[in-house]
Amino acid sequence: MTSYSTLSLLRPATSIHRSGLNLFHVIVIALSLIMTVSAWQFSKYQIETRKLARFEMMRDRVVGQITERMLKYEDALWAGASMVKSHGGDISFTQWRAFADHLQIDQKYPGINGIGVVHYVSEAGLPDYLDRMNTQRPLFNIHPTHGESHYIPISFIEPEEPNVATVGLDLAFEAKRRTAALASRDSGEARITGPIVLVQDAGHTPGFLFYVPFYRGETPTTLAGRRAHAVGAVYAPFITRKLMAGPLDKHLRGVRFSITDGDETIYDEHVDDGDSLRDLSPMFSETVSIDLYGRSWTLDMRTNLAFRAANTYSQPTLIFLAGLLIECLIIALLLLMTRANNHAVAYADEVTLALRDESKKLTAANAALSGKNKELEQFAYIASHDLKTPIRGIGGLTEMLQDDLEPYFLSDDANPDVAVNLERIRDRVRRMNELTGGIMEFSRIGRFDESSEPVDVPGIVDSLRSDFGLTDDQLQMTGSDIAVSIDTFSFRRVIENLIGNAIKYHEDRDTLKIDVTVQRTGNTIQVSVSDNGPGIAPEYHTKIFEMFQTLRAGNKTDSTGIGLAIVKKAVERHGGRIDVRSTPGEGATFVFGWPVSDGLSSRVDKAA
Amino acid sequence: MADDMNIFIVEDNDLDAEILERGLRKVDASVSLTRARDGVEALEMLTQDAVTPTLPRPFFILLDINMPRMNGHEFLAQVRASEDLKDTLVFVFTTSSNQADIDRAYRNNANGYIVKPTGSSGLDQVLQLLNNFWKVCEHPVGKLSAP
Repeated sequence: MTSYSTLSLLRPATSIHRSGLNLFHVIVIALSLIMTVSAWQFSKYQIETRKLARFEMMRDRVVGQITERMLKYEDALWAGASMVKSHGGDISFTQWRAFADHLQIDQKYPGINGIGVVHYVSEAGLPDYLDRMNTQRPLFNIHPTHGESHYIPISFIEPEEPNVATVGLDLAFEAKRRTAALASRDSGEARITGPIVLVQDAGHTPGFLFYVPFYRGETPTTLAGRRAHAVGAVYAPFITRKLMAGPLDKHLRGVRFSITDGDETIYDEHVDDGDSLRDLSPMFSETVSIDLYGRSWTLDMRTNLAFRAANTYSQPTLIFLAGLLIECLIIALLLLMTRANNHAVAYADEVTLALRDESKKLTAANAALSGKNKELEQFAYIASHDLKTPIRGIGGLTEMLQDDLEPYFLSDDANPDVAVNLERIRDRVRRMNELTGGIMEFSRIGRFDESSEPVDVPGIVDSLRSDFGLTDDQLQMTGSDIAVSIDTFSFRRVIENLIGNAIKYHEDRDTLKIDVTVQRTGNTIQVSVSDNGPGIAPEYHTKIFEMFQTLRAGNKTDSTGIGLAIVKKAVERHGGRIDVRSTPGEGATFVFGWPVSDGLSSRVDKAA
Repeated sequence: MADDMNIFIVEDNDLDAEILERGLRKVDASVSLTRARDGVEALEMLTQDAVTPTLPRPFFILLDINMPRMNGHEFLAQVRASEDLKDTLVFVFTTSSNQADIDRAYRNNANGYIVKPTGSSGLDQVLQLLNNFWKVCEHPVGKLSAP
């Protein structure tokens, strides 16, 4: 219910009745929709970020592993160069073989085909070089022939058996091998060749050579010095494919990559070679350049299906779907609430309509009743008024008869019953007069505008005392003087009736005592009239105020049974109420409150 | 000078008129009584009398209120409005003790308002008082109305 009150506060006044989803509902739905989408997007963004970070980590690892591996080979080559240098710049075939064996290439350096030594040989120095080589290996010769004026023959290569085709191969015969070898010599640093196909590789896959130069004596610091003192280089032939074995094996990676040097691809995992993990639309891809020993390699990295599998998250989708579900529930709930509300409003309308109908009927019935009541009072008034004349006539005629029969009554043979019966007629006429008078007074109460004048209670009591012929002791008054304006005429009639009753029902006029007390409490004049008469049994305390109710037999007293009905009606007509307190044998006290009708309230009373 | 009581009674009820007459006879046999049955008739008679006086003078009117054709209030208002009749002595003599009737009568300058007693003894008393009152009053000579 509290949510409903909030709703009604927010709801525009025009849509209080029947309505679909209102503005508030739309806002609620929109807000929760925004929250759902935000949560969805946020989760998606988080996961994207996480995936990207993973990809970048993998990328860096690949690059790092390649560089590291190359460094490791470089170290091996430098070790070779140092070894040569330690033998005074020249080295024998057996010495090299011992060194190479010691390196355990096939275990420690799986990427290379072997490790060897080339010499920089000038045209003039060739015979001398060949002599030196032939002393160790009689069949050694360089090949192939070329037009260059210097030679870079491979002097040793270990293990020799798989590389036998390269022994004596003059690397100057081909531009890439020659250029890298010379660049290594000139710079004094390790260098690699561009993509080549190794002579000894039966598979004709791309590869490259790795050179580390060595000089006579200390490594010269100038280019001229390096050219002048260069002896040779330790070199290693690589088949790129083999380089990627071991920790770089593609089965251990979530990325696939290719390596290009210039325009030539030296390594490629993107070709369709039955790799079940190849992802044709990779989640991430990036090209990275690495500068390696005078060459620039470009790595084209793409994530594969393994990466996709490891990085496919249903979380955002779940969040989105759950959000939508909640959304649907909210809408359903709001619709239900609206429908319930509409039902309630419709029902309330129905009830209100029925009530209004009922109330209209009641008002009409009330008006009709009130009209009937007025009619009845009118009838009572007119009937008693019109009865007055014939009653008076009967009374008058009876008196005339009594007058005229005066001589007869005095005669001896007069029937005494005639005089008695005529007197009884007159008595009944008197009673009838009292009755009609009482009914008239009763029906007249409230029918006419009542005057409002200053009330003088002691004056009223004084005049009543003389009207009823009572002594000061018999009728006493106590109470404060009350200076207000009221309907004095009716007020006096009420007191008059009560005192008249007290007198009428008292057995012994000599012991009669009536006390009238008057006091004002708030806006009410409180009046009590107490007598020391026979009292009234409690069971009659209500009945005595009813019309024509008297507690004595009809022929025993001249009570009409109207007096107290008039009193009650007059008191209530003026907004007060009357009560009686009495114990049989101990007198009776009538108490009534008479509201002071000052300006406003009296006007209201009359309007009502 | 003690004039005889001359009464012009405006009363529609025959019985009331007869009771009144009987009562008057008991009080004073020399009383003269003229009767009109309602206001219209009374007004005609008085207007006629103003031209050719036939009513014994001096007289006063006992006026009932509830009457057909023209009631007592209307009659009294006409009398007081008439230049010829406005001085006429009028006592309202009615069964109505209604304060509204009493007030209205005096507003029309009634000379008195008497509620009809219910019994003959009460009536006798009232008529006796009226007679005494009449006797102690001085009366104008000739026509009652002003010239």
